Amino acid sequence: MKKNNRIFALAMACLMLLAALTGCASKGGESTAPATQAPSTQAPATQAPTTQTQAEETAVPTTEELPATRIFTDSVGREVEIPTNIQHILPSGNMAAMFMWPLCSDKLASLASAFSDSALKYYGQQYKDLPITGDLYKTGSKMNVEEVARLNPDIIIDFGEPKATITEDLNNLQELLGIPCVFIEGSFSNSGNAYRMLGDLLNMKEEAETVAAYIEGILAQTDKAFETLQKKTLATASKTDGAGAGCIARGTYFDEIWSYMGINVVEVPDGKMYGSTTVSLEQLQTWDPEYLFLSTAEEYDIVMKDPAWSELKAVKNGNCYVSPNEPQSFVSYPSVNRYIGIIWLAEILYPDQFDWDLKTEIVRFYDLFYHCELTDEMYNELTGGPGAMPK
Amino acid sequence: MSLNRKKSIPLLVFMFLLLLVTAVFSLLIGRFDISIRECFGILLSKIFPIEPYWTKVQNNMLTLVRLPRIVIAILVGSSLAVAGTSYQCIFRNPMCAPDILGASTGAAFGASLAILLGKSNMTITIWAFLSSMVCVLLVLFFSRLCRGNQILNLILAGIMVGSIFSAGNSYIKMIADPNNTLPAITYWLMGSLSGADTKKMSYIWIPLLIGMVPIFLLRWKINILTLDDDEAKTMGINTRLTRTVVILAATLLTAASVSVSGIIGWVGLVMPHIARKLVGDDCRILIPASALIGGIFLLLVDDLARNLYTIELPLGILTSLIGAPFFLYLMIRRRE
Repeated sequence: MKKNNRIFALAMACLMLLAALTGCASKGGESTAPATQAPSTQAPATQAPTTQTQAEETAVPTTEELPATRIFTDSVGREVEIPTNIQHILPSGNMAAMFMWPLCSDKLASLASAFSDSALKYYGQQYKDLPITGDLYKTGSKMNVEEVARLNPDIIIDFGEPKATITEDLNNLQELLGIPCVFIEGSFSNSGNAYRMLGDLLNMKEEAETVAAYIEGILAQTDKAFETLQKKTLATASKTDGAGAGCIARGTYFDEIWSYMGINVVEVPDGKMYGSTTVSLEQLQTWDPEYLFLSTAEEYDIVMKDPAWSELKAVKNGNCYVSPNEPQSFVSYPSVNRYIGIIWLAEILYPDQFDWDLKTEIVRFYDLFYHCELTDEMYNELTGGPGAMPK
Repeated sequence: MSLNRKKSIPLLVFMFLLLLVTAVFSLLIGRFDISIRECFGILLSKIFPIEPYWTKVQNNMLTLVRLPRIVIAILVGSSLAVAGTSYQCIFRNPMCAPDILGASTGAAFGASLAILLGKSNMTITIWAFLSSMVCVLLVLFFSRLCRGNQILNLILAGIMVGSIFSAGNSYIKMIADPNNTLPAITYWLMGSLSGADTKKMSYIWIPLLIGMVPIFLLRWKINILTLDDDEAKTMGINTRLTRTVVILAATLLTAASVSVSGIIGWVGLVMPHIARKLVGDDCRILIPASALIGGIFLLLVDDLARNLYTIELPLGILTSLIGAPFFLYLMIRRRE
């Protein structure tokens, strides 16, 4: 009898696990349907697999004038054989997707993580059902290799600052999937060239030049102004309460735009490694920056109302700001969103030195970078938060 | 309570067959489309010359992605379960898990440090392994220095040394770049087999085999170790030596496992109990049964991790979510 019980328990165990598996297998089947249909909302993407197989088939015969593939040298010197006509791109993460958006948002095969509903208002509803494949590097959602193979993109593009193991990682991935992987290096100061490289990759040199020229135009103006300008002191604060806040320390990855536009007062030893450094209000009061930048409207409220904060120069003079944050904040995620951030910060910190019209520039940026035609209503919603616009 | 040995052999054979079936089943499922015919074709082509009717990507997905993951899932699941069983028997404590002497904490520290310094995957694995072994050796060393109850000393030293490594780990997390490094560390701590490749498969079996063999050979002595030390000694067992050998072997299993999979906490604690409910307390049967059940369990859970969503899920979450309710069910059934 006891033996029977045991065997029953074992059988139940198998059944339960198998049921769970078949349950999710069929779920997986269902979810593949929208995933495969997703690209069909984008005309070019649906053609991608066929054009690619055609390209492969015609690789040897010389019936076409353009060769099907060519050699491309990426930012870390890897020579990669890529299709001449790229229609279906898998970004290595959201930063890569953001970077590529101005040139080829319609060619993205997937996203690293889904857009929020509020962000979709700006990006466009057609991107709602793009498959989600996770980040190649940033974890918490790791790229599922089989899913990437299933989507079969023409190319995988990684963007940003090179990780130590980039060459090895991309070579391995490329070997495994048989899909070319390239890396494009891009940082705050050289995004223009990154766009030129992307333009070369996608045969979109003209479009790339427009974006590159836009970025370099902004940097040229600010660089010139900063030759003579005395930079103002500032600090960022998030997770504010009565006792202190989390600040971006000088010299960190997130600090780039802040130290470019002003003097970030938050200087901590070993600051290079911290993302958000907890700083006491006392310390902040000692540094007493002229401007304070908060990440949310709630934090803005705390800072303006809590008497503990009231003696800060920035609070007394009403120099507290919160960046608009749809679909991306102007300042916080260190990607191409920061070029509108420069203009925004310039108009807040040095209104007399620059003659940008903020509204025109925001509308222009959203058109160029997000393909979003900002209506007055959207513009007002975007810039209507407390401290979102210069006084 | 124990089944007699004769009766339990068919049960072990059944579990072994179940493991094989599960492994084949796991090979057939995945996000990428490979039909049963293609699957078997690819596998048979490794032995017989078969004209490929499949694509290179299909071949890669099956042999370079699925196969190593399945093999490693079985190895890691078995090893953790066997290590857990051994520790539970030796310490005569059903709450013991493979990390009781700090093996996992040590591995976590080594891995975090390697991730922080931007090392390659291979280095992360090696550092995790070495750090884990160092941690447990320190525990053994300190427990030797103390007088009194040896088991208590071991556990206390384990907690103390573990907490030092854990503090180090917390510090690394604090100074890690929250954009890249910190999520990588966190993900590693949640455990995943998404990094399991042929390279890892080619060497991980060596430490696991070295750890597994002494435990399997000594499993009748482990039975005796569950008695009092004095009683065991009267039966002619060198308790201290046997215990140390088994601890080292179980640690080797744990260290090697977590170094390739990250921390998968739940398997080593609960799989031994499930095995015990099925075959009883006799280590001679219990240890092989734990190995088989651990292997089947982790394999199935990893199937979920790679199939459920288009992104990879961490194993640590799934093992608890699936395992705990099932274990509760077993406990309740037992009462009836």
